[in-house]
Amino acid sequence: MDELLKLEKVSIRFGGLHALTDIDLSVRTGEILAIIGPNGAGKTTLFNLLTGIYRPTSGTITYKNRVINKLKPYERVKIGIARTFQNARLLKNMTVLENVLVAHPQCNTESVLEAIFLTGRRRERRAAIAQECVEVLKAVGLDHKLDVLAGSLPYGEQRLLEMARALVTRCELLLLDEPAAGMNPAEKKQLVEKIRQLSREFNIEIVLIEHDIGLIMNISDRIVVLDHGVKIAEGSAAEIQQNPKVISAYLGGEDDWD
Amino acid sequence: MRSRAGRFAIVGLLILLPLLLQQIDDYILHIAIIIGIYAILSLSLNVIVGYAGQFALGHAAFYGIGAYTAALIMLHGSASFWLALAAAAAVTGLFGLLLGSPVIRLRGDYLGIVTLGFGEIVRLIFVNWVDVTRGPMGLPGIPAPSLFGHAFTEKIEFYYLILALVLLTYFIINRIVHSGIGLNLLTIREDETLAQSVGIRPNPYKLLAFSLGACFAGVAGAYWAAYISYVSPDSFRYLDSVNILAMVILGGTASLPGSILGAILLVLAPEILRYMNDYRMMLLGLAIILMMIFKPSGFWGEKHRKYNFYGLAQKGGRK
Repeated sequence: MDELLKLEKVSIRFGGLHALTDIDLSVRTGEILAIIGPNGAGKTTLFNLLTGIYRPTSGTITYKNRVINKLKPYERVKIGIARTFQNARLLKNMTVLENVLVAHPQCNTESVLEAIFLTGRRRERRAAIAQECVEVLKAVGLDHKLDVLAGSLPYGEQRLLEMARALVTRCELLLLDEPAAGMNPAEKKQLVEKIRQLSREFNIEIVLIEHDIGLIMNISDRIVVLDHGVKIAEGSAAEIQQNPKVISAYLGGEDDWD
Repeated sequence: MRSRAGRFAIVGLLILLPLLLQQIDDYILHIAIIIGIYAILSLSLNVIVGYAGQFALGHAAFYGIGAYTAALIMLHGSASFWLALAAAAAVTGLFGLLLGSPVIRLRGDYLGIVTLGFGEIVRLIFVNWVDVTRGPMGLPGIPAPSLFGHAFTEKIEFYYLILALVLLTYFIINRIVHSGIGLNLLTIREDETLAQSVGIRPNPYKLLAFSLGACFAGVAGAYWAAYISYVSPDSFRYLDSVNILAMVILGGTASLPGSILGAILLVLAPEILRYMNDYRMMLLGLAIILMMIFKPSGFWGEKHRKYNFYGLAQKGGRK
């Protein structure tokens, strides 16, 4: 199987704090990978490394056979890595459509002169861009709320809007930071369906962080478990459930008392 | 469509207005011209403060640089007003870029302080660089603009000139903020981390906002120099920067009609309250404080917008 993204011995320190130590990880094509771990295990730090908000202290991050350690967040978006945030980050005073438009790659490249001398061709281009955004919104099921302000959407829909925004960047690797946080069981069930469907429809690899073990077991092809900044286990849902290290990390074990 | 008709009606009214006003008083025409100048200034500052979210306090410096540039070019280079206008816009735009490159790395209060410092430095240069600016004595005798050999002498001619400049400024800024650029600026204003995570590189956009805002302030400055035919450092003080900022905030940040409304209110109010002498500034201060408490989004804030920021008619872009 091909490896889209590969981490080799990646570590990051903040002063004396070893947030992540020697993480080896790979994302293969066509899979949904879940990252789990107790609070403070370094999951979100790992995401911030992947999206370029932090740079690793040592180790290499390879994406499509290219080392991307030093790429800035906006550069990583251009090569196909998009994300959502732990607590939905949206432009709350702007409409659903506008929230998706800002992420469209061609919306970002308009020049000043093109904007001033708004030609017919440019107008058509804009309409086409807007239409593409509407299509993506349709895929996540928000196309009936184009004109609603993002801040007034219910929480579950805000998460979907974030996903639509990430998808419109034409990403190949989508990082979801706790997509189900704050959702009720019914919403979670829908979310699992949605993530599966989007992964197929847009042909993207998904890495997600999640606390809800039930949801994880349901959705992921492979699971990586972090604890105190170290990878303690990796494998399928069934393997992880049996792994004694994982059980002790979550429930507390003898080695915690060392 | 109705809004387009409305706009034509307003422009038509503004064209006919002076014919009516001139019958009454030259003074009122003068006030209308000053409103025009401040409308350009607040529109241009709105790009920086309202859309890019950069709390800049030195806008009068750009205004001054534009005025001095135009004055010097017209006096020493004996260039026409139109050339001086373009040169002033270009020079101040460049200064906007120069000021922008260090300050966009700052945030909030720090940015305010640095831009405030910039404003003071520029004013002190006007005062102390006597060889060029004649210091506090200022530069008198700036020639009036002329068009096809006809020199502008009447106030009404100046009125039409500023009207044309305001409309041009409004048109260009309106097009820019209702485009992908405007949308990106707003995203950066709201959440820079988010902007980066959807592929927007923040710094070039902030720089663009600074130089665009500065550029139009330069246009206002050049007009001022030609209209009053005299420039001195007194016209470009810190207080003027604050006044322009108050117009933007009072009218509503990130709202272009709001900026014009703010300019009208804050130029008219001191004039109407003139009979109250020293108390008028206190009253004005009080009004602004009350405004901040009860209507912080301004008289004509973002909530009133009917257009999608992507320039599509109606929010959502569906007819």
